[in-house]
Amino acid sequence: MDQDEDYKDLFFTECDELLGELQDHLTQMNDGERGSEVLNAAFRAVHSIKGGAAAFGLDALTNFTHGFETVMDDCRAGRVQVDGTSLPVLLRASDMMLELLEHSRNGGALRQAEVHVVAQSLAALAGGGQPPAGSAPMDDDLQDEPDEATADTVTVQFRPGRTFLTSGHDPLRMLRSADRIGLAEVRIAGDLPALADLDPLACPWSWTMSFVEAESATLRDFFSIYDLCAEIDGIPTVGAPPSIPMQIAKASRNATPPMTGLGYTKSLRVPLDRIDRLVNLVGEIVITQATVAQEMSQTRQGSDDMLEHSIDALSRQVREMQDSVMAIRAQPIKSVFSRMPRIVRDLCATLKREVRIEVSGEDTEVDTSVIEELVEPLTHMIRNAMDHGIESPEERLAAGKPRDGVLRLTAQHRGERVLITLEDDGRGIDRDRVVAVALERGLIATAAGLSTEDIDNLIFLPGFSTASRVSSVSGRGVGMDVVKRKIQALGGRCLTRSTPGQGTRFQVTLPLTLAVLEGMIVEVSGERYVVPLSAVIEAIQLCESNMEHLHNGQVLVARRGEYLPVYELPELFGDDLPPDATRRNMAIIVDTETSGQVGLLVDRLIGQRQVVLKGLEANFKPITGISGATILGDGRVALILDVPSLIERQKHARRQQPQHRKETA
Amino acid sequence: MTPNASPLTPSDAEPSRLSDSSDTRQFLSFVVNKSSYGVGIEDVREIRQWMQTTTLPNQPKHILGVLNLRGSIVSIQDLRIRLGAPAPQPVETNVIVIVQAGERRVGLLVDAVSDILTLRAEDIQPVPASRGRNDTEAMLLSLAVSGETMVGIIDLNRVMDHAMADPVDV
Amino acid sequence: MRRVLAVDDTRSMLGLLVECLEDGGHTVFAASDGREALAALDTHRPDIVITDLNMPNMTGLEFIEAARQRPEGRFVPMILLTTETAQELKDEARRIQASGWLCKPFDPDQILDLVDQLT
Repeated sequence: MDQDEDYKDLFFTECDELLGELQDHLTQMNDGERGSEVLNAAFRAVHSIKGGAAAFGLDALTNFTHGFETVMDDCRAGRVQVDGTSLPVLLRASDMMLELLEHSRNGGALRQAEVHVVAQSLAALAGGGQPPAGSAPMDDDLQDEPDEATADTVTVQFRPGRTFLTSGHDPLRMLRSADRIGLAEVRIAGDLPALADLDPLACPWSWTMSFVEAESATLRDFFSIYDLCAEIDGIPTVGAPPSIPMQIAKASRNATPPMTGLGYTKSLRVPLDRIDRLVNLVGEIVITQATVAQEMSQTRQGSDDMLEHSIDALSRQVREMQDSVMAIRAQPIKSVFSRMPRIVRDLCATLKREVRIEVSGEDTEVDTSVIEELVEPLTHMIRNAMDHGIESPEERLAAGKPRDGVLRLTAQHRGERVLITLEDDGRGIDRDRVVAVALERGLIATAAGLSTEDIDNLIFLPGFSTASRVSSVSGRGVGMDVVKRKIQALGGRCLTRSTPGQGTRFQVTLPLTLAVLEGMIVEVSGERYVVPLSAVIEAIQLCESNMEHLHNGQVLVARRGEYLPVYELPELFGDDLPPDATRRNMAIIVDTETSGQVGLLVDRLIGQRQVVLKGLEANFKPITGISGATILGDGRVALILDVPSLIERQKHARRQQPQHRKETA
Repeated sequence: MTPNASPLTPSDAEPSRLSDSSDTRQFLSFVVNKSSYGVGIEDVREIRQWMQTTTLPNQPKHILGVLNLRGSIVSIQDLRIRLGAPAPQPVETNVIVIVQAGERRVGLLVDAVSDILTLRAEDIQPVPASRGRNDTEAMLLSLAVSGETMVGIIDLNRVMDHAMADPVDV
Repeated sequence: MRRVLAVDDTRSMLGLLVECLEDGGHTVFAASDGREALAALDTHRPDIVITDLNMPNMTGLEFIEAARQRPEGRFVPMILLTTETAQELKDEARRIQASGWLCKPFDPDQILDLVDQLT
C-alpha cells in the first residue's frame, strides 16, 4: 500500500532520530553516566527501532536489534554491568545498527560476517540462554504455519479469573463473538452465590464452549486475548515453533533485504523555497522569451526562417519546461483531505453528533501554493456543515434519516480548474432565516426577486454569520463570508446549493496553479489588463445594429440570437468613466460561470499570452475584481481581471438600488 | 537582506532613552513639498526615476499604482499627498524611493532626493505632543535637526498601514 | 464503528495502527504517551484502548493502572500491544487488570477482529 511506504519512510526518519538519541545516551554512559534514566532511554530507543523493524518486515534489522534490546534490558535491570567490557560492545552494536538501517533503506551489500560477530558479542554479554537472533515471539508468530487441520469439534474450557470482569471483559460479548467463529454449544458451570455474598465484580461461572469446523489458528487468536485473566484449556496447539538454530541461520545468511536494492530513494525532499525560486526563474524566462518573440515578429524581415524556427522551438521548449516545473509543485490533495476525518471526529465529540466523512479524489493534484491555503477554508466549511447543517442523532432519527450524518468531500479536475465539493445530508439551509438575517444586517434591501439559489448564496455576504451565540466550534465571526474571501484570494469561487431537509452542497473551484495563467491581454483607457483565457468566449465588434440601450442605462449586445449585458470596466471598478469611453466599440465576451455571459468593453485586443502570476497581497488587501498581476514583455505591470467578481458585485449593488441609473455619455 | 532595524523609539519617548552621544545613524533625506524628510538608510532599498505606474482601481489618491521592481510588484505612494499637499501629475524628475519595513515594500514618490545625513541621537527629537496633529506630523516618527534644516523622519509603519487601511470592497 | 484509543510513542507505529483502525471504519483517537492517553480517555471515552508498553513519562502499564482507577476507565477493554514477552510484565499486566496482551508486529485483520470481539 502506498500509505505503508509513507510510514516506512517515516519509520526510517524516526530511526535516524532514535539512533541519534541512542548514540547520545551511549556517549553519556561512556562518560560515566550510569543513572537509570539514561539506561532506560537507551533501552527504549533500541526497543522502538526493533518494534518498527518487525512491523515492516525488516528481518535482518529486527533480528539484530532484538539481541541488542535484550542486552539493553539486562543493562537497565542491572543484570549486566555497564563497564569497560560491555560499553565497547554496545557502541559497536550501535554502529552496526546504523549499517543495518542503511542497508534496509537503500539496499546494497551488508557485511554479514561483521553483523554476526557483533551479534555474538552481544549474546555473550547477555549471558547464556539468549540467542543472538530473535527468538520467536511467544504468541503471534511471524512465521505462522499456514496449513492446519481443522478438527471437527473442539471443546474449550474457559474459566474466568478474578479479574475477568474488571479487566474489561464481558461474557456475553465473548459468547457473541465466539458465535461468529463457529460456536456450536455452550455449557455453563458454577452457581450464583447468595445475594449477601455476591461480589458483582467477580464472575462466578465458567463455561465449556464447543466449536464446530473452526480453524485452530482462528481459535488460538480468539482465545489468546483472554490469557491474562482466564484459564483456558482445550485449544489445539500449533506445531513446534521454528527452532532457534534456524533463526540464527536465517539471520546470518541474511535473506534478501526487504528493499529491492533500488540504490537510492525514489523521491527527493526539496526545500520549497528552492522550487519557488525555480518557478520564478522559469516565469521570467517565459516573459523574456515572449519579449524576444514579440521583437522578432515586429522586426522580422520575413526571410529569416532559421531564426523564426528557432524562436518557435524556444517557445515550445520554454512552455514545456514551465509545465514540468509546475508539475514539480503539484501535490495530491490528499495531504489536506487526510486531516479532515480527524477534524470531523473531534467535532463529533464536541457537538455530540454522529457524522462520518467520505472522501474521494484525494489523488487529484493541485499546486502546492494552493494546498497550503486550503486547510483553513475547508476546516471552516466542515465546521459549518457539522454545526449548522447536520442535525443531532435524535433529530435525524425523528426525521427518518439514518442516525449517522454523512459528509462527502470530493476533488476533481475540471478543465483548468480543481473542483472541490463538500456535501452533507443535513437539514439544508434555512432560507427564511437567511433572508431575515440578511435583511436585518442590511446586506440586502429586499428579498424580492431573489431565487432560491440567490438566497442560499447570501450566506457568503460579508458580515453574514448566523451564529447568534459565539459557538466555540465555529468560532467568533468565522462565517462563510470569510471562507469565500479566502477562496477568492486564491483566485477561486464558492457556490452553494441546498435542498431543505436533505442537505447542502458547497462547491469550490480553484485554479490549478496560482503561478501561471493563459491570458488575453486587452487595453482599456491606456491601461492593459489580462483576462483569463479560460473565461473568454470571443471578441466582437459593436455597432449600432447589434446594440440595444435599456432605459436604466444598461447596454446590451446581440450575439448569436441572445442579448448579453455589456459593461465598462471603470464603472465595474467604481471609478468614473473616462471621456473616451464612448469610442469603445469592441467587447470581449466573458463567461462568468455564475452570472452567465457578459461583455466587457475594451479599446483593443493586444494578444494571447501565458503570463506569470505575481502577488499583490503584500501591499494590499484583496481588491475585488483583481485576482493578481503580471509583468508583461515590456516590463510593465498588468492587472489580472476577475470578471465574475466584478459582475457579481455589480449585480449586488444594482439589487440594492433598483432605481440606479447609469449616465451613459 | 538587512534585518529590519527598529526605527527610532516612538515619538512619545524620552529623548534620553536614545543611547549615548557616540551613537549616530544615517538617513536618506529628500524633499517633498519644499520641506525635508528622511528615512533610516537601512530601510532604503533603491532609488528610481519616476516611471508610469499601472493604476490600481478604486484606491485613495495617494496610491499611484504599482510598478515592476525586478520581478516583484511594488506599490507606489505619492508622499506629497500623504504629507498633506495636493500634487500634480508626477514627472520624470520625480524620484521614487523604495523602502522596506518588515516584510512589506513600498515606493515613495518624492520631489527630489537630497543627501545622506549622519545624525547623532541628540539631534533627534520627538514630534511635539499632539495638540491636534496635522496630516504631516501624523506621518512622522520624529524630528531631526541637520545644520539649519529640520528633517522630518518618516514613520514607515504609518506609511505601510495606510496602504492597507482603506477597505476597497464591500 | 467503534471509538478506539491508540497509544504509542513511535510515530510510525502509531500511524500504522491508526490507519489500520480507520480503514476498518473505526473512529480513532491517538496519544503518544500515558499522560496524553489518560487525557484522551477522559475526553473521548473510547470503547477500547490499544496501547504500547514502553513509553516515556508513563509506560503502558502505568497508564492502564491509572486508567483503571478512574470511572472512565474501569471497564473499558485495554490491550497492550508490544514486542515484549517477559512473563513478569505479563504478570504485572494481569495485576493492573489489563484486558489482554497482543504481540507486535500486528496483523491488521487481527486487530480489527479483536476490536469487534471485545466491543
